[in-house]
Amino acid sequence: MEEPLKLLQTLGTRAAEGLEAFAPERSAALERARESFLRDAPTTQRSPRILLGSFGLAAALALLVLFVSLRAEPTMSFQVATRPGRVNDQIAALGIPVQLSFSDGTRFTLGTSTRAHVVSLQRHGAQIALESGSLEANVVHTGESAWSLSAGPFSVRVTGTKFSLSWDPELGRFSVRVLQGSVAVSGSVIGAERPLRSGETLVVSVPDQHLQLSNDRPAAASSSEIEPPAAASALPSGGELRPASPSAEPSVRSANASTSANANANAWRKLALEGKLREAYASADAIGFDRACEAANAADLLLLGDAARLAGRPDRVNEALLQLRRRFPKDPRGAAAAFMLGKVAFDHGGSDRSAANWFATSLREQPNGALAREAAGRLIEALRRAGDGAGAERAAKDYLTWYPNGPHAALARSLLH
Amino acid sequence: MRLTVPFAGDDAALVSAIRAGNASAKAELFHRYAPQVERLITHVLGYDSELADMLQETFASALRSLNGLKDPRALKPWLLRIAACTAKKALRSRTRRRWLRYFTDDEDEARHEPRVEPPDADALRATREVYVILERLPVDERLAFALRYINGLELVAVAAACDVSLATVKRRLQRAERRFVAAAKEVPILVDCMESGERWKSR
Repeated sequence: MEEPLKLLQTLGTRAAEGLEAFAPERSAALERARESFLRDAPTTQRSPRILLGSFGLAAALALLVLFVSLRAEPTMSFQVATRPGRVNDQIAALGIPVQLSFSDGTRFTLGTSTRAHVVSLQRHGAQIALESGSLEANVVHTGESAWSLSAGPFSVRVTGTKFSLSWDPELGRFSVRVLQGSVAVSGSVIGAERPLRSGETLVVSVPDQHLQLSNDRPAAASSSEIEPPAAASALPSGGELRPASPSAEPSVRSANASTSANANANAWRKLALEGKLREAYASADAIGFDRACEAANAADLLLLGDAARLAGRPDRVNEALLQLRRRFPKDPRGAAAAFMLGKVAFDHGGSDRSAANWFATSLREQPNGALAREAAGRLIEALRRAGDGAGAERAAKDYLTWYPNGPHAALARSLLH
Repeated sequence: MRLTVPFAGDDAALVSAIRAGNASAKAELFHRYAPQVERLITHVLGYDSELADMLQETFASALRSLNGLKDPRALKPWLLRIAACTAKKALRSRTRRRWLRYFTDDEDEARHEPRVEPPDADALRATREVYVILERLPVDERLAFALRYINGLELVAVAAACDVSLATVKRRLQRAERRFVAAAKEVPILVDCMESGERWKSR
């Protein structure tokens, strides 16, 4: 059996090497996982204490059985409408609301045009991802309940019991309304966890970097406009929100666009849309480029990348465009981002192999897109410079098939003759 | 964003610190072992677009069950066992994965398929053929095979990751090897790969 085993080792090694072609995607996945883990890392659970005393043997055995059952595998299960639910199955409530019913009595009702999935199940709770749309939650609260929801860059930790949640990834708009009990919310613009209590509604606009809190309890303060946490400031102690002047009628005031944070956020975008990309970069840098990226949607991230490229900041280009591909994996602008990442790698001393992978990614995702011809030509250049002669020749053949008179046709022919 | 005061210490100290609620230690757990966990999951499944979710699930599960780790010095094999379990769950759920819809329009599940890139196409085609064959193996055999031959773990480590005895993992590997070799002999590009390093001899 030795020789076949050596052959298997050879194949296995080659397979592992072949998977290195997905290095950019794998790195991006590691980064996403790292951010999520550091943001959401749960505390370790305490082991249940075993009380030993002057019990009889039957009582001691009963305690042993209880101990074993507490350390057993999670037993939470759920149904989607009338069907058994499974972790990671995508649930799309497109025309009618859909109810998720959990075995402890907890229910989530997905509104129409909503997509979500159950990320994981634990013994006393679950983690649910709201991809887009809205849901109403009715969580059975016990001392051991462990429910959490994610919606884009936001997290909601459920401390009990009824609330509604919505997330629009296109507009970057998030809202949570607590009907009964309380939740703890954290994420983009909000920062570290803030408690929300019964009667309170929080609305966040990521592009505008703005929070609104309203309260429909008649006896309490009506509403507040909350400044997003700045780098040098701290949250009020205990996470309590400062009430505004009380008024008779609770209401939600519209966003105040005159705050300096909002004005600056709009300024870089305005400059970029006017074609003043270097000035746009300077303006974004003034408010913090990473903050600008965090608040940006896919279109804005592409603009930020372009602005950084013209400002001669390849590191910032990578920052903006990798975020675009990570946070908006299905956005069609991802192909353009991949092309630009390839250009940065090729033009600014990065890895030629990495550049080739990015150009190939752009081509694969949009083989007929506006950048396809340029990506196909650049792919030949990157492969040649990476020392992959065979790969460059294959790319050259493909190029001449599709673009026999293109700007890279002469290069392609030179490689084939 | 790296914490400004990174944790320093061996695995036993790391486990103690995490149990005490040290945030730097939790971050260090990820930094220290995420690359190995990622390689294991990717080598078992091939590249999967849900890799980030599986990585987070692995580490979150590790944190939740850390109090159950009897020997903190065995953190790494314990963590790899959790990673292997995550990968195995993904393999099992894949066979049942579906969109649940309340309209009847069709959706493309291509996001679960590994993508193949034009550059170095032969090497990637060979990789793809390896995973096509692996898809046909029973989950337990596939897991043992991938850990041994793609991830490169020694037999004892494969047994530990699969949470079975050495004898059981050897049996699973023997079955997987027989099936894989029989299938690979029918795939020209795999035969080429093998012949480029070794002469292929019929069994």
